[in-house]
This record gives sequence, structure tokens and C-alpha cells, in this order.
Amino acid sequence: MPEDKRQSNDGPQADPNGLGSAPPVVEPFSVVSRDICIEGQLEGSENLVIDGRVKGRIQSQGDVVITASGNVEAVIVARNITIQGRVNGNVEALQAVEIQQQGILIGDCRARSIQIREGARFEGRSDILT
Amino acid sequence: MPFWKRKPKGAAEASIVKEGTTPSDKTLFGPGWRLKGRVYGKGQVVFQSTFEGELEIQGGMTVDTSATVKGMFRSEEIHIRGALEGVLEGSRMVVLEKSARVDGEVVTPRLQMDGGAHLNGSIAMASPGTVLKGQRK
Repeated sequence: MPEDKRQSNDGPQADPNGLGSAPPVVEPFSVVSRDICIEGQLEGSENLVIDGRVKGRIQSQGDVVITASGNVEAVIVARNITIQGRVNGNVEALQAVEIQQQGILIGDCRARSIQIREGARFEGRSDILT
Repeated sequence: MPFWKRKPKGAAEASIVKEGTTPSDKTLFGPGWRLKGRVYGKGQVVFQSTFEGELEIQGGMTVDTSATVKGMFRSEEIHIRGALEGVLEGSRMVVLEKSARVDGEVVTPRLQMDGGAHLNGSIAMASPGTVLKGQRK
């Protein structure tokens, strides 16, 4: 999706998904809510926020965020990957992987840049893409 | 820079993953997604995407106009605006809105069909409160 279509964030269009309580966003995003479990394959071109559980495989041309309540047992391939919750599986980002405070990654990590914050846990091999 | 950190012009706050934010109970798959597998749990699930598999939700499900879904769907309240092929079980109600195109079986105690909705298949009216076939007690 072209970058220019994702930039509007003013007025009523600030919440393109109609999620009500969600704060304003820059780009459209999809959400797996806290009490939802998905087992299978997710493939997409948009950003994804995971508050719930996913088991299987996630492939996105956008960014993937696993929030503090998120629990993922899957291979993740995306543009950027941010881990605030728990991920058990290999992750690969075209750009960056960030494991934030309290975030857990058990699996191998490949990306152009990898950031592991204080308090995060990472068990696996890391590979920096050139 | 990841999308949730970018600040566009005139936007006071661009983050969608703000500290202290209560997660929404709504699950949404935008038009750019393709899903295959099993979805279960509680809350509201909205498909604008393609989905193939099985869904069992304590709460509601909406198939939006851009969505194409196929499989077995069980929920309390189901709204269809897009295309669905398979079995649809709504333990409270099923609403087929004017743009709905359903091929298959509908089982529910209450069915609303708006003008323009297409249903090719069968309808079984269940008693209100009936635990539908295969539904977890």
C-alpha cells in the first residue's frame, strides 16, 4: 500500500477502524483483541496489533506489535516487529525488531536492526541483515 | 520507523500502543488480510478480510462488505454485509443486511433479512436460548 494513503490522522478520520477507545493512529491497523485466540495463518499487507493469542504463522508487509497481554506461538515475518508481550517462535523483520521492557522472545531473530531493552528477555540466535 | 511511532503533521498523539491503554474487545481484520484457521474466544470480531476456517465467539461477529468468508461460524449475534459460504449459527440473532450474499445454512432463533440480501441455502429456526449444534456449554 502506498505510504501517502496512510498519513491522514486529523479529525474524525483519526480512528479509521472505528475502534472507539483506540487513540489516534497514523495508518490503518488490524487488531486481535485480548480474549481472542487464532490458530492458523495470517497473511496481510497492513499493520497488526496483537493483544490476544496467535498460534501458527504471521506474515505482514506492515508492522506487527505484540502488546503486553499478547502471547504468540508463531513464526513472524514483517516490516517491523515490536514485542511487549511473549513470543515463542522465530521472527524476521525487513527493518527492525524491538523487544521492549518485560517483552520475551524465545526464538531466533533476523532483522536489519535489533533492540533489546532493559528488562526484556531474549533466548535464541540473532542475525543482522545487511 | 514503525507506524505507531510516527507523528503526522497536526497530530498530538500518534501512538496506538500507549502505556495504560485498555485494549479494545474488538478484533478487526482489515481488507488487506487473508486468514486461514480457527478463531475462538469472546468479544466482537469484524472481518473486512478474507477468512477460511472455523469461528466460535462468545459475543458478536460482523462480515463487512469487503469481506469474503468461508467455513463454520458460531456466535451470539451475527451481522453479514459481505459474502459468506458455509454454516452460520447465531444463538441470539442473525442479520443479513442488504449487501449480504450467503450460500449455505443459517441456524438461529431470530433472523432479519434486509431488502437486497441474498440467501441461497436453508434456514432452521432454533428456539431462543437453545445451545446450538456443536456449541460449547
